[in-house]
Amino acid sequence: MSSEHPDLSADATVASPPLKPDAKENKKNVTVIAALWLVLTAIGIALSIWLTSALLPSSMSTEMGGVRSTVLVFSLAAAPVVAFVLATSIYSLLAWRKAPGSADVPPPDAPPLRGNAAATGIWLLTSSVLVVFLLVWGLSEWSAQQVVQPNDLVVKVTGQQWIWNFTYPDAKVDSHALVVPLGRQVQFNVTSLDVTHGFWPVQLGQQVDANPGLVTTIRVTPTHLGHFVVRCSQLCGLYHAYMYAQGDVVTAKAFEQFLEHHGASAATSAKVALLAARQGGQ
Amino acid sequence: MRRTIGAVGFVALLSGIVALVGLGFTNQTYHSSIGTLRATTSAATTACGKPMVAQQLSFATYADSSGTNSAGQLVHPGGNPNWPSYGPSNIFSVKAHACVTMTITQFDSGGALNNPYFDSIQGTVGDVATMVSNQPSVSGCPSGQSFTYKGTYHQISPCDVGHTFTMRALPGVDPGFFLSVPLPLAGNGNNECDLDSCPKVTVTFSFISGPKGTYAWNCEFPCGLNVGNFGAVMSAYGYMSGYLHVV
Repeated sequence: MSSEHPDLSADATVASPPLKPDAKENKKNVTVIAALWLVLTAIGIALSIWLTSALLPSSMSTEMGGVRSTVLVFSLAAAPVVAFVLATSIYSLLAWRKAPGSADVPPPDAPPLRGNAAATGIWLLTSSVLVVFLLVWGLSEWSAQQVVQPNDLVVKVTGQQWIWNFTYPDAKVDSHALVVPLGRQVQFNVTSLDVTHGFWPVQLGQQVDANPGLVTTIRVTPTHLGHFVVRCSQLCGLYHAYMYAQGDVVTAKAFEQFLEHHGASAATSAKVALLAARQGGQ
Repeated sequence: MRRTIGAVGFVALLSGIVALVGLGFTNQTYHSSIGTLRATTSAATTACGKPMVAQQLSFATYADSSGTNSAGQLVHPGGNPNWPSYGPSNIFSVKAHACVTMTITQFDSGGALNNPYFDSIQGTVGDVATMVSNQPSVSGCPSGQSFTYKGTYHQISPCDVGHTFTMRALPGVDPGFFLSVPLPLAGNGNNECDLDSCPKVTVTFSFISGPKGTYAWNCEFPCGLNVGNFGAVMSAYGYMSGYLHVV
C-alpha cells in the first residue's frame, strides 16, 4: 500500500520525550513553579488590598462595609488560585516552548496521564473549601441585611424618566433629595412609574431594580455622616445618564429639622396655592 | 522579516481602528439644527431681591410641533404632527449667578400627572410663579369644570397640568440645583393651535442661575405615547427636553 503522506513514525519515535519525566528535572520544574506561584500570590494579595480601597466607593453604611469586605475577602481567596494558573501557564510557555532553530518534532501523542490520587484529592478539597467558604460568607452577609431593626425609617422611592423622588410617608414629606439619619435603619420601598430603573445609592452599598407596578425593598443602616449620590443603574432611556439625585446622611436632630421644614412649608403653601391658582368660573 | 512587518502592520491597523473609535466617541455630540436661545440682559442692577444681573428668557410649549407660531416661525424644525414641543428652541443660554426670569407661554392641553410630586414648584425665587390665562381652562378632574388661572402659585392640582419644566445640573456642576415648575393646562383639551389668539396660560418665574456648566431639563408630565405615556415625544431628544448652558 502506498501513501503520499510522509511517515513520521520514525522521527516521532526518535523525538518523543521520555515517558517518565526525569525526577531531578521534575523537582526543578515544581520548585520554579512554586516560587513563581508565591510571588504572584503576593502580588495578587497586594493588588486586592489596593484595588479594593482605590476603586470601590467609600463606605457610609453597614451594608457598604459588608460589600467592601466581601470584595476584599473574595479577591484574597481568588489570588492564590489565579496565581497558580498564571504560574503554571507562564512557566509552561517559557520553559517548554520549542527552542528557535531546534529540530525537535512534536510527538504524535503526549505521554499517558496517570491517576494521582493525592493531587486530585487536594484539588477537590481546596475547590470545595473555597466554594463553601464563599457560599457561607455570602449567605451570612445577605442574612445580616435582612434583619429588620425596630424603629426603622420607611422611605418610598419613586423613579420615573429621569428623576428620582423620595417620600417619607410617616411625615408626609416629598423631596427630590434623599436625606437619611445616622445610625437608624432605613427601609427603601422602591418602585417605578414607567420603565425599569435601578435604584443605587452608591455609598450606601445597596442596589435594586425599580419596576413599574411592583415594590421592591432594601434596607441600609447609615454609619457615616456625609454626602452620597443616588444613581440609576438600569439603562432607562434618553436622559438615563442624568438620572441621579443627591443624598445626605445627617444627625437625628438635623433629620427632624429636615422633615419639619419640608412638611410645614409644603402643607401651608399647598392650601394657599390651590386657592390662589383657581379663580373664576366654575 | 515579512512576519515582523505583518505583525507591526496588524498592530498599527488595530491601533488605528481603536483610535478612530475613541475619537468618534470623544467628538460625539448632538448637533442640533435648532439655534440656542440666549437670554437678554436688562438694565436693572437689582434682581431677585439682590444686586445681580437680570436676564430674561421667553419661550413656549406648543401642542403641535409641526405647526407655526404667531411669528410665522416653525414651532420645531422637522416637527412631528401631534407631538407637543417646547419652542422656538430647546437649548438655552444664560449668564452664571444671574437672576433669570423665564416666561413660558403654555398653549397645550393636559391632564393628570402620574406623579403628584411634580405639581409643586421647586427652585424658583420663593418657590412660586405667576400665571395668567387668556380664557378658561377645562380641568380633567372633576371633568368639565372650568377655571381661569390668575395669580401667584406654588402648586396646582395634579389634574390640571399641561407640562412641567424640570431642570437639574449635570453631574459635577452644581449638585444642589433643582428646579421644577408645573405649567397649567390651557383650553379644553383639543388644542391644536399655536397662535397667540389660541387658549394659553402665561407662566413667569425667576431663579438664580448656578455656576458655569450645562444643566439638563425635561418635561415630567407624561405627554407621549406607549410605556406610561413616556414613549414617542418623551423619549425623543429636542421636543420636551433640552439643555441650559450657563456661561
